Amino acid sequence: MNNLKIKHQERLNLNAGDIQFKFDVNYDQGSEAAEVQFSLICTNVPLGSTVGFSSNTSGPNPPIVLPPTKVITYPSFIVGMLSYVPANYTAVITVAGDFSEPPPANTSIDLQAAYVAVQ
Amino acid sequence: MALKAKKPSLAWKASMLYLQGPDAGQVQFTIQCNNIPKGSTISMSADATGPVPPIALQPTVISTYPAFATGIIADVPAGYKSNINFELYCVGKPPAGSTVSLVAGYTSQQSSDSTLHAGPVKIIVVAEVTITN
Repeated sequence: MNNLKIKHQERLNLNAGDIQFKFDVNYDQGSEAAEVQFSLICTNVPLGSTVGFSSNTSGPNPPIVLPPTKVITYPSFIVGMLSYVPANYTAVITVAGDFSEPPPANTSIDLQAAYVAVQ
Repeated sequence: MALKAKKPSLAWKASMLYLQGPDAGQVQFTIQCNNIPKGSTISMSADATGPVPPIALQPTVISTYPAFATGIIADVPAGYKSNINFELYCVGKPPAGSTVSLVAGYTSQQSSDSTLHAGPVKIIVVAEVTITN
């Protein structure tokens, strides 16, 4: 698992007053297949907001899709899914959702793609 | 015969003794559910206070199948020690081979890089417990 091309997470910084959000992340699995956990890391996202994501190309099993899911814990909440992603898979993952109220200025949503490793 | 919606009932309950060690750190506590029916709920709580925010996850509805993950991130002080408990309320019985894992870990890379790319980061596991049937 040393040949991953890109290794980080993508963050959306929000503007005060935004009620809906949507952003695209280019995903590149790199040269090794893996079981990957796709998570939205929500910080200071108002309770009752919904968040979700989907990718635009098939291949991973199950498909990289998280239906709109309610944020029910504040100020830190993570929600996501795991998928087996084939080598060299690339896609645009679209993250979208609705805020239940205008989010505070320090709100952020990260799409994290991670694999779990025991060190 | 009319179909009746099943109400989730307590299926599994487990605890993990968590030890932070000598260094404080930002820890990601994630519950991974495999083959747990949609509509079930999972929650988590710690017995001891100290982390900010507290290690507590309200009952979260499992919205996707077969693999769902949820959790929180907290700043955990050095020397923190606590049982972390989690509860699964399942729609029906958990099917054979289903699992729920509580994973505590930190990410190996965090970046504020503004390029529009993302691939996997590594979560280094410091503690993990799995329930299965």
